[in-house]
Amino acid sequence: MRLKSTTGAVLAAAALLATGACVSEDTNEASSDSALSGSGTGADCTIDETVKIGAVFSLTEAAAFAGTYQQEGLALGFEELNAAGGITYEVIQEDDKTSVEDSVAAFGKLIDRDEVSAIVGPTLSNMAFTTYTDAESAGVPALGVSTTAEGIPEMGDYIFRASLPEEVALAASIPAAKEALGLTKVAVLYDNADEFTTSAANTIKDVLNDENIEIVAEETFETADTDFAAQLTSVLEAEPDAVILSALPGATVPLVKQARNLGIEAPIVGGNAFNSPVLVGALEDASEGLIVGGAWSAASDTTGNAEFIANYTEKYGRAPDQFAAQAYTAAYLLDQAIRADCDANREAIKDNLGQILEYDSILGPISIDEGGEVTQEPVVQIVHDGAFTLL
Amino acid sequence: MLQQLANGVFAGSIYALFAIGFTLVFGVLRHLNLAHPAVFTAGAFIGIEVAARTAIPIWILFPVVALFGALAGVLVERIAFRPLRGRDDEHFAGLISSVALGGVVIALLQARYGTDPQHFAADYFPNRLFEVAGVRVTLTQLVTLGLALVLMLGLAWLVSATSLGRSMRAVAENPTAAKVLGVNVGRVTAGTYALSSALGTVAGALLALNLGQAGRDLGASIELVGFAVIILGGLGSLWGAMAAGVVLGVAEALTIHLFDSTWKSMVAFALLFAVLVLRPRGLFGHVKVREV
Repeated sequence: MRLKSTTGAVLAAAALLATGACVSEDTNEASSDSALSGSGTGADCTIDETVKIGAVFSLTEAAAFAGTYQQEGLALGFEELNAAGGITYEVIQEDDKTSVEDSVAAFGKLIDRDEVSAIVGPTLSNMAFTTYTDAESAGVPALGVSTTAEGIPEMGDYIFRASLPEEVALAASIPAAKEALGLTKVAVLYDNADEFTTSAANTIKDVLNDENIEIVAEETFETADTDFAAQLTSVLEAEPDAVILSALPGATVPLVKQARNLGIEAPIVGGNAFNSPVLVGALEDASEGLIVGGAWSAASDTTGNAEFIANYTEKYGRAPDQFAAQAYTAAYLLDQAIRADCDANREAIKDNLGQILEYDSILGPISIDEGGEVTQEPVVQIVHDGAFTLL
Repeated sequence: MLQQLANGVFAGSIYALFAIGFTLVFGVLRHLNLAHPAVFTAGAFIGIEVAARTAIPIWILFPVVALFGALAGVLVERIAFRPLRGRDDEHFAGLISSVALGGVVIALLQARYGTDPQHFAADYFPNRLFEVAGVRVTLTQLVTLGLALVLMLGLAWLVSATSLGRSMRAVAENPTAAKVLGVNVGRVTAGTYALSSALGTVAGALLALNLGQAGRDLGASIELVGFAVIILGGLGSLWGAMAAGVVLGVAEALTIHLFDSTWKSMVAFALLFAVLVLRPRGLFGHVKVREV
């Protein structure tokens, strides 16, 4: 009797699941629009209907330092592509206000109401972990440009990123710093309340271990902390050759300033979050000697980099940073994926985004595999006289 | 270890400065002014802007910031508390309206300064490092500690020895009786708010100087610790707030040194909890007969 009722429940659940699967299948089918597939291929591709691309960035609150650059970089990229002709893009920009709830709402609006072909963003990995489940179940390709935490591309077939993982950036900057500075013992300082910085800290420790560099101090802080005197005192007492820092930009500025004020003169090595002229500007003299691993450098001579910097600076009145460069690249990657089959439907973008091989971008040759992960060469820079130079 | 104790004392002196402004208003007027953290944040931004615009030296900067603070305090009382005076729910309504006013202040700061953190120019107050008995202290830390001490002792003197202080104590004891005896309660109320906010804004500017920057969440970051300091020291007790600020600052620094930053808040609030259970009126609070 009991067995029977259980079987019944299982059957009912299975039936429900099957209906659910059908419904989501239907949504995918319904979103396929023949007007979004054009004629010709590659550079000759022409699509009559305007291709709508959603963008979700943190334009206000804590992560606005990144989101505003991303918005500008992406807009510049699509502007250039529109001028080139063949396909007309319309970017529908949403602000997630650096909050998970708002980013979920923004994804919902772009997916259901605006029916965009693909979404670029969000700015923070924390939000990607939530919003990407929605994009995946709705069958909308999502391309992250700064979502560097571990495990994001693995979230589904529709999830991609053109953002160099922090692990890769750090794995390049630590050996480079070791070679340049002869490091033997370092202090590791990280924000243990943030997923991105914690996963980076784990990588840092692995890389240090591989490089036979001793960790003489390991200190943590929380994202909202403002006073780091206690941690920095422990670092100072350990007398490291360098300090490896994994922090969000919000904490980086006061932390580096306080470190220098307390008399820590050792070089400070960091990852993606350091790679911003704003940070260097805010740190003023304290920025000297920072070593930064990242995806892009103003000093690189990659294809189109000089034009990108010139156009961006002219249009927005400020120099671009890595966030702007990655978002700009995302516009070109989406264009590549759409032009491959001359089809701007969600399925086609998904299929082709995972096939991009050695595309020659301002970040250097960049590839995206079927799993959604990016491959590119990281750059390592050091700050000299307030400017980034390649190490 | 000695260095960590020193770090704790420096951090604690800012907690104390924040807390005495808050506790002063409560001690005299029984008002919980939850706009205080916002005024504190405003102090930091005003300090940074005045320093950037005028390049006045630091010993003039703080009196200027205090002046802005005093004005802000008078406004807070006029807007958030005075209209509610005499209502049955005066205290609770004031608490809510001050939360609202705090929100308005933060929004105004955002409108004026944007969302990016602001900071003092690097050459505004060149930092020097001293070593005293094996403890490294920066000039900023010394200025902070010195100024905090001067302000706290000054306030204690003002309350105990001046005529304004006497009026404040009279109002604290019994506002109606004070009025009957000819104390201008309205003026004392405004004066208390002005003093409280002046202390708050100076504490904000000092913290910004110490941290290297100030964001709109500066007040929020210190708010909970500040309240813990007030309860720890005994609501309304000036000396209690000063001592508790230092106790909490040292406890936090030692926790980070001995364990991990994750435990920092836990230690602060465990201390708070222990005090509430063992000494419900705080370290320095005393049983008030008047209320019985």
